[in-house]
Amino acid sequence: MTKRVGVEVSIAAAEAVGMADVDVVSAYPITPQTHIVEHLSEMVADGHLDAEFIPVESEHSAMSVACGSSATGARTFTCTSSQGLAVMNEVVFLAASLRLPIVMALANRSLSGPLSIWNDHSDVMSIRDCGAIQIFTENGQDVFDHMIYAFKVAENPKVSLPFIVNLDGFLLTHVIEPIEYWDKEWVKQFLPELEPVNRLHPDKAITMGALGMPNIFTEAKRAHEQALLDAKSVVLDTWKEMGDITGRYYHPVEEYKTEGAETLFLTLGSFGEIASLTVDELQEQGESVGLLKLRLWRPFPQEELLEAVKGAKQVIVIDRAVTFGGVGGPVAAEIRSALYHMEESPVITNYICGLAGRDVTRKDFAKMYEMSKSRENDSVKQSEYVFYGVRE
Amino acid sequence: MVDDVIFTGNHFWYPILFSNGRLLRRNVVSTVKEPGWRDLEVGFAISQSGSSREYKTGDWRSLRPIVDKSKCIKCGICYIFCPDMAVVKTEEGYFEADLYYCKGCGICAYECFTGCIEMVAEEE
Repeated sequence: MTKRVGVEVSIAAAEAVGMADVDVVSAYPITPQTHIVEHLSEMVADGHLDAEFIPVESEHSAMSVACGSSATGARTFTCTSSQGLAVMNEVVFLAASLRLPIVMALANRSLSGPLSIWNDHSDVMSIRDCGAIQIFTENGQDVFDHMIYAFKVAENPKVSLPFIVNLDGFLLTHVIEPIEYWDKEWVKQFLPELEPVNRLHPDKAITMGALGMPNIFTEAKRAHEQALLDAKSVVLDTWKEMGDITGRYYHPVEEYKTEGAETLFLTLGSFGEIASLTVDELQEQGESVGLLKLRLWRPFPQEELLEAVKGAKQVIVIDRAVTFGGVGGPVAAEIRSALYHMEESPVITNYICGLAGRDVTRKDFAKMYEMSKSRENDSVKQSEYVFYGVRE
Repeated sequence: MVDDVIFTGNHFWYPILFSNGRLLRRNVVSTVKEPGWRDLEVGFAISQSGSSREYKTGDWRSLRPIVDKSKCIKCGICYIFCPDMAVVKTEEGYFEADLYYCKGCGICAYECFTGCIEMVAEEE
């Protein structure tokens, strides 16, 4: 155990990236990601971090520069949010298909419009299918650990894929938390030098990003899919390895007081904290309720999820994004699909809430539980989704 | 439907599309088996350098450049302007298009000072 310090999560995230000895940071500032990039820029300017900080003119360029730098074999970091991710979008897909081990922190914020700077998950859901590894973090420590962890997994030769660490804008980025910094020796022990699978180098010519004709494109996609599926075992092994060093073990589906619980909440990101408090309260009142926190989003942890929901009668899925005209929120749609073949699968109740930073308190979670439980609200159970707390 | 496609090096095949939308059937130039997804390099990279040499763009051609050597002054303007570097210098110092790559765009004929290049229709 090293010393815990009270620090803003964004600053801690930047420090972690610095500890990972990143070579290139290319980013464009956007709320609420700004402090992460700002701090990295300071670290480079002050000589504390030996890296190139490339201030680009847009997020499209940020990811393009990241692709170029990663392709040469440099350890590369970028960071964005919401509209910035939208501008970056096409290059995110390219980075993944080129199998470049870029690490990106995504400070989750709603996509406009109406214009909003506050937190929800509509930005990350827009790149759900980009083919990168995507995880959600719950608190500051979680963010710090995963900034270093992400490089290790992304750069593993068996993986070689971009790694996106989601952290809730403001709810995480702007809060001060007690965070245990890693010892430098830990980083040295955990994170080896980057040995890229492919590298642009004059000594060995290689083409990246070639045209794929119709008769080879499907094969290219299939290979990419397999890479992401295969990444899962590395994700799990590396969590174990990190846990052996830090004492903190992470799982694809974190379970909180789920034993024998008839109803399970399922949350992503920082909502796990508030939901766990609600579960404490409800259990004290004798309710049979637990909590699942989906940490690994891509590759999707199908087996772990099936195991975690076994025996539950209902899963209350909290979505923080809208799939317009779809069948429920993006997470609920995924969970339903994942549980479809399960014998005696639980009822999925889906609430869309917490959009653009609207507070969802313990009371709200308790109310959602009541609504899902009560016979009078059968309509809730039967509808595909409910916009929780929306004013009529 | 395309029954056959041309193997043009590494993992590139190019079905020939006529302007009327019909696909031209061609014999397979190489008998190399089409690669499965496991055969591809990580990230669809191509580590074999110079593979574009095998990319036979000459099949796209509907017009062929014919040089009238009696008018040619060996200036090499066609060589400079060819967008595909398909024009090569012969031993006698004349410039000719390598028909394996020449797409028949006609830029050489357009740029030629003396008008010694004529674009004639491919008959096949």
